[in-house]
Amino acid sequence: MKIRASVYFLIFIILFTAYVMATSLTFRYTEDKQLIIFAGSLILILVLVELPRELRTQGRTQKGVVDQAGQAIDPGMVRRRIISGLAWLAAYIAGVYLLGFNVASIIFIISYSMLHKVGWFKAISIATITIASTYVLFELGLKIAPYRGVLLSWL
Amino acid sequence: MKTRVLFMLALSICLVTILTLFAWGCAPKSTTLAPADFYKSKTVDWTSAGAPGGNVDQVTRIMQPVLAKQLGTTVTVTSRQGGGGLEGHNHVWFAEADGTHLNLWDSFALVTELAFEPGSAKYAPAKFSYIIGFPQTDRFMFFVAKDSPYTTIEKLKSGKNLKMGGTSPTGGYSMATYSVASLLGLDAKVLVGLKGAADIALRIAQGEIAGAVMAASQGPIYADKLKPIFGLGSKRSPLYPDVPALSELAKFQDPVQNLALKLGDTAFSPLRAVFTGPGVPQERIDYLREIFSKKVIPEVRTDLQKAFSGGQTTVDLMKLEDFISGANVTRDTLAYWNEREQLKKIFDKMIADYRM
Amino acid sequence: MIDAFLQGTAAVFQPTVLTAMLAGTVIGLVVGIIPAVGSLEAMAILIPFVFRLPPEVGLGFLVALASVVFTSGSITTILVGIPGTATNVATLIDGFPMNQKGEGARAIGAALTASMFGGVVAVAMAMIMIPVVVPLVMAFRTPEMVVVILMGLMFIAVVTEGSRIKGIISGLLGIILAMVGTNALTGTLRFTYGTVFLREGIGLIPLVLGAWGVASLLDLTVTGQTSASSTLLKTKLSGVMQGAKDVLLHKWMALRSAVIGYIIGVIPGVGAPLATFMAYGQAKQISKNPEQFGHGCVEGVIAPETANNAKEAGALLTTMVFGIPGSADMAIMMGAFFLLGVIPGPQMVKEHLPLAFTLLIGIAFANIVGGVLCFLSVNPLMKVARISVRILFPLVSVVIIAAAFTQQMSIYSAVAVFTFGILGFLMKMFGYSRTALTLGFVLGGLFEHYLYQALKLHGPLFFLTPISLIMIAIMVFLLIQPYINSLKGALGRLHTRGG
Repeated sequence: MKIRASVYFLIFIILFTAYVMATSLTFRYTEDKQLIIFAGSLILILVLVELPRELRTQGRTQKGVVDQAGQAIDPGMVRRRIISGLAWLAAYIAGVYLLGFNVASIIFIISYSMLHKVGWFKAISIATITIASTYVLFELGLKIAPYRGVLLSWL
Repeated sequence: MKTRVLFMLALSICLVTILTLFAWGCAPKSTTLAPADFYKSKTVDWTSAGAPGGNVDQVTRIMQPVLAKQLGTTVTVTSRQGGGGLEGHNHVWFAEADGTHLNLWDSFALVTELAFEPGSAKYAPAKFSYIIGFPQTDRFMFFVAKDSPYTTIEKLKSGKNLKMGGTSPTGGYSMATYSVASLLGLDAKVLVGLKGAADIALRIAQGEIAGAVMAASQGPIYADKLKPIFGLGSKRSPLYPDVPALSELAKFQDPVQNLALKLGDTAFSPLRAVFTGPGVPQERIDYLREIFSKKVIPEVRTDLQKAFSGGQTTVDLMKLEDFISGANVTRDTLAYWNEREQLKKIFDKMIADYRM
Repeated sequence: MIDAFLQGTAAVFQPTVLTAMLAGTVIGLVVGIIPAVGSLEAMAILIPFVFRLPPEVGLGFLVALASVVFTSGSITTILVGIPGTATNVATLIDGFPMNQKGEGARAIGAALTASMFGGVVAVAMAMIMIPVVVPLVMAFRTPEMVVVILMGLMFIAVVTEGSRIKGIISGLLGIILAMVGTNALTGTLRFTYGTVFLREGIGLIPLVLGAWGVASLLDLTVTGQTSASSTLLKTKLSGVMQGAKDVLLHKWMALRSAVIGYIIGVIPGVGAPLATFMAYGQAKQISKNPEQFGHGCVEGVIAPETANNAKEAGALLTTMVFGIPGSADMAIMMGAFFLLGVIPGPQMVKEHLPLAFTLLIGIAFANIVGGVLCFLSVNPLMKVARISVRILFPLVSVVIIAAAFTQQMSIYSAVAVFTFGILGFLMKMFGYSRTALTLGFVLGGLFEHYLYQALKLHGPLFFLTPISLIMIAIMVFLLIQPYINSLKGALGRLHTRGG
């Protein structure tokens, strides 16, 4: 029987809560652990109530994801788009860490836009306007210097 | 199409790297420049390790534009709050030792962070390069409600099941309150976790706690609800010249007690200093010291007095020469860092005895 | 008192004060539009520029800035699905779905009008309540604080969309997340893994940006081409005016929300988001169509937005009259008071009462002017709803990460946003309530904090105080009210059939 992702999510909640409760038992004072143990216990009880319900509805047809035009989207396509979105974000954050906010943002905007068939002129314009706006708002306005990447700091 | 985009991506990364290397290569080598010229060619990064809008942040931002004008360069204030100041201090500790990374903090926080929060702090406070220190403009005092029956030390000592308050578990107010309970041998327990002087004042006024230690400058704000009955240490507060200091009211023979009392004159008073990282060339420290003491402080001292003393400007609390010696006082205070093991034992016992 | 009021009002119309308030309003609106950046950062930076000005000019500027941040924040919240400030989260529950249905203009119209209404009504309440705010604040000790926060937690069950069990699980998860960091009562480092970043806990900003902002972005990449369906988009002025009319249609609900927001604002240390969630919760409880909440119901926008702006007047009043900051913004404001030579507290009421009135009127002024300026900007701003996701995704990602760095300049802030983004997306996908998660997170830490203080100071029967018991009775009534209504309905039907 293929187990739905929602069941895995419930299992993740169980494992996370169990870990948190076990760790809290090592805290020095009673006040540090009491509320965690109480909330954690409630979570475990509720999850144990919810889990059979989730398993019971396994066989029923799920409502698919639809786009704005009301057309159903193939679940495989949904998964690919989610993974793609997450991958882009992760790569962007890694870029910020290495190259700094400004450089990484320019590269991210241009590469994402062009790979999604936005013209190069539009992509560069959007990147320029975005960086200029963040510069004015954050650096000049709020006096928050941008994150300097590890590589550029070393230089 | 994809190949073209990937090619352009690679090209842009190469271009950025080459330009950065070129700019770095063209930059004048700092070791050959006089301090005044050096600072003109650099951006000074001043870490604000406190919460935005808090006292430390305010004082930093008051001085920043004047410092920028006097140095003839850009001075940016970067908020690096986190870990009660640890984030900011760690940053300055590891930053390049060229004198362009400044910080402002109070010395007691530096000591307690290390004495009681091992592991996260990567620095040794006495090894920072101190530029100027702000002399003690404030002292810690023990406050009770206006209508409290505990108006003297004797009445405090005769009180039963007293409830007192403190802020963060190892913060200055809490440590000072524990010290009071221990020094006077009170039948008391200290509840920590209150959110600052305002919260302490409210709880005392509401009758939930009998008293607590706060900075003297907070007193006038809550003058209709609270009153101080003694000050910590051996000196009276200029804001309350009629309120005696603890050493006038009680004698302590025990060396441990005396250490705790000594803290009332030094670490238990908000002693702030501007500092930079270790290993900065002495000529730059001297240059910054001169700029701060002769140009920056005179221009902003009234505003600083207001910021430090909670608006109480009736007393001239700062002599100009004290700012220079303040750097030395800070360093001396941080000598307690050498006694941190002993300090930790003392306070661990106080916490065990008096924690609610 | 009347003389002071007249003097204070006259001061507002001095050209310098008026200009300062206008400038503060404009800056506040701009700051509010930036996701997750609130007035704290702007005020911290601007204080050095204002402290040499006369108090009514400098403080008027800051008060105006702080008052309207949430107003423009609601625009970002509704159009893009990223809360403009942490307190706009409750608006997002119904505001963004309204935009997705093509009713974005109506949602914004309702939000702006509700903000203006809340701000103005609260100022009127504040002025009347100047003599009684001190006894009110003094009456709220730790037991009462525990019960108020418990009431807020109770709303987890109310605000949750879909499965109640999943909603409560979400709320409890939020409470557990709030435990990360240093326990203020004991100093114990919980789940910090030796990092400085987590010592102060997981910030609300990364959680909100991630669970709501990133999750909405991922949703957009999966489902849509624009944040609002272009076939349904109504950007005409009539949409905005419809929203404004909705506030008038629900004026009593708006008034209740304003009262809730104001009272929460007066009580120091409770947390601003509580006002918006409680207002939302009461609106849902009392609504004739509670099942529509969470799916784009205009009442779900009006209630939190009214409370959001109403709380500022309450917080300012507590700060000025009592000397206790009523909110995080007001803590900064207190610093500004000192720098400008005004000592907040009873001294201020005695010596600077006209200034107190000037500042309160300043809140009303800023709310009205801010609302009008936002109304004029709605049409061009609505174009955001038409931007393709191919452009919106990178743009919004950059803004989210930039906003994450405002809290702490550490790459962990961005990582935290990403992590909560995954969590928020999964929660949305599997029917768990992010609202409940946020509410649990906001209130969990506070509840633990006050609960243990109340237990230590007053013992296990701490809740046996008159005010606490009244609030507990209200809480029980609100909890059982839907069942009472169902029972009444069933009995009515039985009676009809029998008759």
